Amino acid sequence: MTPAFRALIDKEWRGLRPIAVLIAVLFIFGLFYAQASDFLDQYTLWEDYFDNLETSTVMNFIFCAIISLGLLVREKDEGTLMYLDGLPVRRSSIYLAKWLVAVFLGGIIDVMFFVECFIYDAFSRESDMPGRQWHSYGVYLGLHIFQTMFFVSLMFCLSFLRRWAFLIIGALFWAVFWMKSSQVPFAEWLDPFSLVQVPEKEDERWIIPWGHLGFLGAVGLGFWLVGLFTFTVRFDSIRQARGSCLAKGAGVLAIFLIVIVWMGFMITSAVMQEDELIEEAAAAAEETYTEKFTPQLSGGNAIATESSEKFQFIFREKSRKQVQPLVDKSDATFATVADFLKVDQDARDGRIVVDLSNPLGDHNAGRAHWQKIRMVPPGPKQPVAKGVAVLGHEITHVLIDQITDNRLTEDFGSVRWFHEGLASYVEFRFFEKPEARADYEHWIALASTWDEIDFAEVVDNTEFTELHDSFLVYPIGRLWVKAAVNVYGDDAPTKLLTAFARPDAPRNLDGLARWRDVCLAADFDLERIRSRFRTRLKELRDTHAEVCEKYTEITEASAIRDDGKIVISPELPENWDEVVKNLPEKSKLMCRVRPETDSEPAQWRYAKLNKKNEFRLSGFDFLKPQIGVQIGWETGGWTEMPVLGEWITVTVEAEKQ
Amino acid sequence: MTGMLFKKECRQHGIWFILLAVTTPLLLRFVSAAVNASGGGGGVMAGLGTGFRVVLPIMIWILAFLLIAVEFRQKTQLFLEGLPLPRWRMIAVKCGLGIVLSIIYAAGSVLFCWITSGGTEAVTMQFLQIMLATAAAWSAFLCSFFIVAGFLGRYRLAVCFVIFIVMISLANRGVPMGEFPPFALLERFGLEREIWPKTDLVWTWAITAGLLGLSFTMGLTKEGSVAAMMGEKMSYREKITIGGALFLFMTFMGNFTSPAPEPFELPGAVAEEIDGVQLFLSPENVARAVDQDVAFASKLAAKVGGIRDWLAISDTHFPPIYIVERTDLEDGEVIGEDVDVEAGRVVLAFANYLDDSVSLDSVASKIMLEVLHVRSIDRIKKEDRWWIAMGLQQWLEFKNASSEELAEQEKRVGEIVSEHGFSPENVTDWKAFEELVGEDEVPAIAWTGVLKFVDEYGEEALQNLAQNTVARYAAGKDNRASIYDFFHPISKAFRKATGGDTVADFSEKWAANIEGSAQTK
Repeated sequence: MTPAFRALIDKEWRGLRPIAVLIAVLFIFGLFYAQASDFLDQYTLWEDYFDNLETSTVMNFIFCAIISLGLLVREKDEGTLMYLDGLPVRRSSIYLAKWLVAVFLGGIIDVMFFVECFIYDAFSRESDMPGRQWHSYGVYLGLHIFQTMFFVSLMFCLSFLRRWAFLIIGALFWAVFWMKSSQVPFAEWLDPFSLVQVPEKEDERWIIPWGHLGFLGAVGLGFWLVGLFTFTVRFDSIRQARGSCLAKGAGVLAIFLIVIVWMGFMITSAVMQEDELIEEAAAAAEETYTEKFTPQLSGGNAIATESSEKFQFIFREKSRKQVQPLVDKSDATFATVADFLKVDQDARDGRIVVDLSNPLGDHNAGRAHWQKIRMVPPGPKQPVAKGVAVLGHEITHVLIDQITDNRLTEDFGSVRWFHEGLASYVEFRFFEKPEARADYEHWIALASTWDEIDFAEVVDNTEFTELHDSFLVYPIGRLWVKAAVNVYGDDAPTKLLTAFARPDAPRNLDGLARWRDVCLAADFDLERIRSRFRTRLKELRDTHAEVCEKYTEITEASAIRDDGKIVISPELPENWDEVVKNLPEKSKLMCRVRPETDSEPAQWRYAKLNKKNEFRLSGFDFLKPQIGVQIGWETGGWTEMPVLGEWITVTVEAEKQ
Repeated sequence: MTGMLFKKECRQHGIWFILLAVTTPLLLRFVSAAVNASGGGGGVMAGLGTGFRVVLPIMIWILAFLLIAVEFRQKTQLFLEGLPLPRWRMIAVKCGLGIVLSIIYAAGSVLFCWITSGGTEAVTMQFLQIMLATAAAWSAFLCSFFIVAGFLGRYRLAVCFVIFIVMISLANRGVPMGEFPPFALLERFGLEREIWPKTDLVWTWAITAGLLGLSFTMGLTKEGSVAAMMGEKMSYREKITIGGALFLFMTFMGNFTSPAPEPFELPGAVAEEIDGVQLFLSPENVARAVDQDVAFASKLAAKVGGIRDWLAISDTHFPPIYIVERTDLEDGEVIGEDVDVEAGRVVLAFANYLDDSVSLDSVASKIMLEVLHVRSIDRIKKEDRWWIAMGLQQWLEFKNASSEELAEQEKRVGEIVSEHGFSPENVTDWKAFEELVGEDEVPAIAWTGVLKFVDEYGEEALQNLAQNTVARYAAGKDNRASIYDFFHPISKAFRKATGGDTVADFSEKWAANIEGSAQTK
């Protein structure tokens, strides 16, 4: 390091020292605050610190923005850049010095918090915890510092835009969000916030996401270079300045085009790999490889509308034949639901829009919003009754929101199961044939046999979906509502909804606390309903024990990358051949896979067991070292939905040699 | 002159106005598409509501910055003040232009989204009017807010931050921010088609007018010198001071965001209170007579009270006990459930308490263990004392057991020891041992430890040990309990109870005793 460069570092450090002092003060204050909020001899790195990584990553981003956004432009705005230009140092050296100091300051924050938690962890260690995972700690700190470097480079690149930088950051965020939601391959790699993926178990080796690092590294380098370019270019004349702006614009456009072309190449490869997997399955004369869901766009058809007293239907002209019967029965359906929920005449005013023109995500027959329903149009061979049942289900959702004035959405995590459960209860009670209820009962019987149902978990949707099949809330909720109706009568759902919406209800309860409050306000005993629910579950388990026994629960698996694909090998029982022989007809072991714990259903993939007793999926959709896997059964008609066990985290080993 | 001012603004910032006019609808449409792609959207117009919440403020902030903050930062307002026109006119032109442009951006976005929705939104005239009116009111509010922020100059970020933290805190305390104007305007944006949000619109415009009035006040006070002074850049020292103050404020507000309490009750429960022990039993079958439950409640309350006194636990810190009957639980299983309450803690447990095969001692000892869990906020499970708590529970359960029950318990111990062995290290590494043996089996081993302890040092020593270890109370979830334990470690309490023997000394004796018993059998 030359003396001049050292002087630059010193100058930058001196300039940022007040921020460093501020951070140190805040950290010390945080130390005292920690004393007031937790038992520090029961605060472990793995369970407490790493559990809050999302928050710490967001804080990291904010700190980097605070430190970096003004670092370059301030020199120009305050005129000190002219002074620096007079010194025997290059602008690139100044830029590098600033970048290094910003990264150091941003990185030091993470290290300080980590060390603090490391100390608490030392006081909290007990014998059932694995030994110190130095490798994991090193990987974590390395990834965090890499994130810091990436964020600082991004801020440096955008800082010349000044306030417009926030707009670009917002646009980038939504672009990545859209790509991930739209299942664009490799979209995961565009998200720097998901770089740090903690292994599920403490003693599991933390695999470095080289692919993700490499990609973000390339993008980050691009940002760094653009920032360098904008800082180092000098204007001797307006013409040069204009030329420089054009050059900057051209540079940004070039980077943009490179990214687009590269994404296009990757998407093409992903599509080709999907086709390959299909051909593979066909060649092996197996059942069709389960492709990812492709929304059935009806595109290009004119939009048509039909109205009834209570509804306005929007649909594609080509599905008029299927939609018309739905329109004809819609008002009667509404009346049935509204009468059951005892909705006042005033609240029945107004029209509900039913949008059947746009595709919905995977496994969604319908979605309800305030005064609006989105539905998949009935298929050509689908009975009208099914469409009516779905409409009845969605109308229930709409009316729940009306009765409670949308209060249930304040804490949807605690009530999702009830929302779906009540809608399912109405659907099956009034609109589905009795035989159709058996489907839900079989589903819940098998899930309950596998211990997938615990009410205390169900009332916390985040925890529940982390561990179990999130669609289970439908049959669980239905059974619970049925229990409530059995104990307290047909008025029970409406009384509960009214209790939710009462003006003096506490507004920020969640989980069991919320439900205890609501039940007490409705003059119900929550434990009585729970008891009835448990009894009914046991009855279902006992009734269907013989069939349930045939469907073995499988909760272990391993995975490898093979020629760009992911091959998952479930740990099958020793008597697997026997199990297969005794299975009901058309039953098939299958799996569901997700890239991250909080992935939306749109990002899930499915596969069926092939003749080699493996699941094969496209590797483009799962780029992280660890994936979530659920293994379960398609039951050949015994249940409509597949019955899946708990989510397990599987490390994807490197390609076979 | 007004026209000249208007032209001046357009000439100075026109290119940015046009850029904002183009990018705002495009970006908002993109946000709407992204929200719908994630599966969470209610259509194009509902997705636009999300854009209005998260992206439109950025656009209007940039607009307000251009109109207000730039003028004061670059001190060009001094030039304008030299012109023969009243200062209020200058501010009025800026505010008016800002409000009009904001409304154009927002309304334009509504129309753009409608046009690009491909007919999939059933937009009636009334629906469109509601959306346009809502968009106009919201954007005008944002503009007026950021204009005020612009006049705050170098303190604007700090003030915005404070407002943001206050709103978050209020939301955490249960104040429904989304129900108050202007936020209520966006609650059902793109979904509510028939009912005009009249009250919210009126209030939003009233707030907007108030903010504009504040802008004028700040801009005109002392001939605009206040605004000019605030428009100067903050020094580093000032930034640190304000940054530190903001963090302290944030932390202070954080202390008041604990969730609202829940009322706890078991309707229809049989209640009993004996000597400060409050016990509530909730029978599973509400139709049956509660005589048995009443009788059991009395006996259980008395029993639990006896254990409480033995542990020297005061009434003040003894939680009420709620037990819900579950006839599906077997073998005397008692399941505890966490409950957060307002005025202290409660014990909520599930048990088949009327099962004839389960003794009163069994239920009472397990309930007591739950009480210790709740009193210590789960610190009872710390490794240094967990074996003591387990062993104590088992000792209380089997104190009056029949010889058959004792024989069965000893047999269980023998099986565990022959399979897993037992060494002195297992005591200090109790959690690892529990993981090895299984949480249902390990209490039997802990029982042998307590038996040996009583045998070595007497029941009084056991009482002393229990009072100073497992009966410790945690006043709250903060570090006081940890600090107390640091200065009064369990090992010290153990030495005091045994008259000098350490845990290691005792572990040797314990292990030898178990080995000896195993060999004898």
